[in-house]
Amino acid sequence: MADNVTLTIDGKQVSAAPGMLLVDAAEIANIEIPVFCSHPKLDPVGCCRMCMVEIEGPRGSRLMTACTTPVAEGMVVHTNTPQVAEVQEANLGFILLNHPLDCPICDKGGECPLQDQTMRFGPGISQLVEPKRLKQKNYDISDMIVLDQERCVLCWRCIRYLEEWEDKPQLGLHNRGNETVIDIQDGQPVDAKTSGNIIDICPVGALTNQISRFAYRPWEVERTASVCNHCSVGCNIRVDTRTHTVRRIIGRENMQVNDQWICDKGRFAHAWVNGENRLETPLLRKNGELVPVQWSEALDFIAEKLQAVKQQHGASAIGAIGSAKIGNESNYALQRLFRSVIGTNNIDHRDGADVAGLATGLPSLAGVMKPQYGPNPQVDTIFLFGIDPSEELPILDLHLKRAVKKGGAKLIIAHPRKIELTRYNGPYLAYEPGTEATLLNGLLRAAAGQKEGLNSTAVSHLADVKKWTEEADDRALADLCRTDPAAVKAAAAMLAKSEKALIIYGPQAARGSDGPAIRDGLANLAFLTGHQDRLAFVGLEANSQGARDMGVLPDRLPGHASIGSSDAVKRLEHLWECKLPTAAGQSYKQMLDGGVKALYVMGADPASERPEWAEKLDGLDLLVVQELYLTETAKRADVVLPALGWSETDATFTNLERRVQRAPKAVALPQSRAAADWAILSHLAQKLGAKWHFADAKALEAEIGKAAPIYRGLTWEALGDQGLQWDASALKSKPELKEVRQKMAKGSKEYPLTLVTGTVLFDGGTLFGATEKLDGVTVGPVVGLSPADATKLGLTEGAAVAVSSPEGSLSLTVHISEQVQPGSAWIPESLPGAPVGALLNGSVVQRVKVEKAA
Amino acid sequence: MATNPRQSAVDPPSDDKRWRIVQAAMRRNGFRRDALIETLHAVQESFGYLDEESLRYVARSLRAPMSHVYGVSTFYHFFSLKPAGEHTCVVCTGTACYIKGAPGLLDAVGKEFHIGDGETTEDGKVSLLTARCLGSCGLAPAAVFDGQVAGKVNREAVVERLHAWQNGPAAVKASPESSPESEGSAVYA
Repeated sequence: MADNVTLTIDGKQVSAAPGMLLVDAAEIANIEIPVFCSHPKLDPVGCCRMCMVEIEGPRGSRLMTACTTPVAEGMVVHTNTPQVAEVQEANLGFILLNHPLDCPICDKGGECPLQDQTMRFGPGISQLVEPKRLKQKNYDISDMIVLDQERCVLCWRCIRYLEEWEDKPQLGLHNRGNETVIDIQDGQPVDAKTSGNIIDICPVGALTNQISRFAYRPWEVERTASVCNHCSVGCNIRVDTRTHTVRRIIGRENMQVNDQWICDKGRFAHAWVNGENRLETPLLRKNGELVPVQWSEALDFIAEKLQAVKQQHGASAIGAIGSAKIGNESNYALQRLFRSVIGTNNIDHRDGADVAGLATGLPSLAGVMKPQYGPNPQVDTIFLFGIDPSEELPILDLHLKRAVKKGGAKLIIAHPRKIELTRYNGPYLAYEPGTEATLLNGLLRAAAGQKEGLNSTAVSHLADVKKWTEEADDRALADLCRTDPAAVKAAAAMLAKSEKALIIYGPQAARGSDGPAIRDGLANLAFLTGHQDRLAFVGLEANSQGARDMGVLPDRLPGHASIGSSDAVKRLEHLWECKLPTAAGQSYKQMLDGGVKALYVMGADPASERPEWAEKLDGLDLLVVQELYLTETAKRADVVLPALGWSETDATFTNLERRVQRAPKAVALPQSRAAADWAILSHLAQKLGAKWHFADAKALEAEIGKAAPIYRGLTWEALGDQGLQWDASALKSKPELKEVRQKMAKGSKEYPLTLVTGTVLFDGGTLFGATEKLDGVTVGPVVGLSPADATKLGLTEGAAVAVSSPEGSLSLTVHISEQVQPGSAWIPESLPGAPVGALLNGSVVQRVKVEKAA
Repeated sequence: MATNPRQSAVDPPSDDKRWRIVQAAMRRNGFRRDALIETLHAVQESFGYLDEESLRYVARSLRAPMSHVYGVSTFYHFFSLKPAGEHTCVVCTGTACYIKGAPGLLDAVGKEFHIGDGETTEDGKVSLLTARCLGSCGLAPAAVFDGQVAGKVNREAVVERLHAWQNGPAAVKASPESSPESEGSAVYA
């Protein structure tokens, strides 16, 4: 790297990297240069002319824009001369000519750069005597963002954000001169999934938040540094609250996680915190009705009933379901209660043991972000297998786009749907659900044929690999998987050639009985191509990683120790003063399929996933549900316990790169008698005779550090406001090659289409659905069909259809999409009133037929 | 910027031969994105206006975002997003013409034909435009009828000329060139 250059700004010596812009160099020296268009995360354009500084040159001083001028050796810069002051004042005068002075009703007032700079650098009085120009006000450019063209100072920040980060140029600058406006085209709303960030970076009140409009004044809110709880990226956010309600959420910078961006779900969908239908008192079923009772009565009932079931059917007839939406402390308390006090390993969460995960998560998110920022890229190729970041992890999607566009990274995508990210350079491997292992064998076969770039240890088994993967030839790939064999070859060559490739797979790809085979297939491929350290499983919920870390799994103790590990058992038995059960427990699916007599559910809603499970839940001896809302599952419970959710109680969440982050209490609910999940469990443990005494979440964190060595030292204080990653080096296993086979589901004439499910960002789930203003963007009960299949079936967009499988039927409307591959039908999960589980009924691969509704 | 192919991967919207002129303009510049203005020039000159279809075609061919293409086409006065009428009437709104009654001319046309600046009558016969200044201040108020500058025009003269265009020459008693519609009016070829 070239040496730093030294320059002088206002008499101060500043050392800056070559190529750095003057405006950034001044910031190092703590010298303020006013800007509107310049933004540290966006490319310079130099259109607002606010950052004029005087630069000494051979022909005297010249005024130049600091935001577009790179530093040079020996440069002498002045930012506070009379000439600069005059230009700044004149420029502000110009900007204010037409800017409406409606600050008292403007959401930006109080945190507005234009306001601040006018006070500091601007003229004291308005010079405009003519009427101000009139443009569109209160103009919705999407369901979430309101544009006020009169307030706009045309800095292009929003345009540039959408172009440079989202790669969706949906805003443009139209017309000329006095009439120039920022506008959408043809009334097409801005639909980028992270569009809300343009509100944060708008230097005036031109773009405001539709959901939080007029709900806060910046100087009145309490600000809490927190993390988002909608997905596993764990974006750092700031929660602004007032009078016990969340008023708005904005992004907070963490260069290891989310840069400073957050997605629209995280920003706008927070009404569930202060939802009207929140549970406020414990409910106990008396004479068939759930009636409010005191805490003591409810907990006494549960303790008594649990002991009765244990006596009658044994501890293995009791099960507990935790939640990847809930923090580490409560999940830890849940598994400790059931392991040590009840004595069962029947502990799991959704996408827990039913999905073949890996313990260690992503090596680091910064590895994905690095290509765009650093000269030292940590990954050059990214292979996404069965994961759609655009819908599932929008900020990862943003990082990936940027890594491809700015960092030159390559993107390989294998997904049953032609997802949005396939528009970039890499090969796209379409596949039929249920043929994942064959596709992976095909990739392995193609990789084995590469001459260079293979792992030297793995190469010694090349003959075996070729033998196992013989069947996965071009014909099998084309006929069974419906994958283009040429794309498979290209992908394998790219992985072998890559210095450092990152392979990411999601729960959708490795579910059910084939899950372990698919995980091993990915491990084979990663090992052979030399990327075994960078194979990552990422869960989708905010604490998917944490729930696994805490041992909310039937076969794993806290810290990913196996239930047979004598070290871990000894340590935990000493810590918990108990004897641990030795038999492996039942998974989420097994428990709900009728494996237990009593079930304790914390923050999960299995009844809405599958009608069959709902029926089974009715037949239990005891069903306890700890929830925020009266969900389908809670309606069937014997006891419903009101819980405090995210932002109402201190909690830590572990994101997809193992970063443990704090989500502190930001609001209090004075009317409610709800309690933190861990506190409820702690009281219940006492009723069951255990000596638990946790005063707060911090006490639990201290114990987690003792129970799970990987969490040692990760206390509330140590985490700070940027979080800490736990060290995965102890969990690395020796890579090996394993033969992988998958049983093929047979096609059928009666059910011609393969069902593809997956997560959409704007779903109709309990949390998202609570924000009514977002109803317009919520995905309705639809079935996605490829244009070819829709034509074949004679269906048009919006047609009402019945989709049926051998297990059940759903009434849906048709959505024709180029993303859906021919031969498949796409039904997202958690759509309002359309549980796709009714069609799947426990299986992972399902064939369906689509018929016009009668 | 990614290197663009020398060939356009996108087919023109129709078989219209005028697209060949547009394609030639793009090829001449190697389908570079910075040749956007020249390409739009070619479209404007061959078709007389830029419709959405042609903007989308240009955007796809040059791999430029539609927002850029639309922004550029609304920025320059030369580009028109609507088809011009068969005949155009340009009213000068420079200072001299303004004082001598240009707003009155526009008002009269607006009342009679229900069109404003930049608009075309429903039958597609007449477009009304305004100019900053024609430089014919001595003839104020001035107007341009299909490329011919007319000086010292008044409301009636403009309205009559436009009616003549709408209803065809037969409907008018005398041809515009030879009829002194109003006293003191002069027509310059």
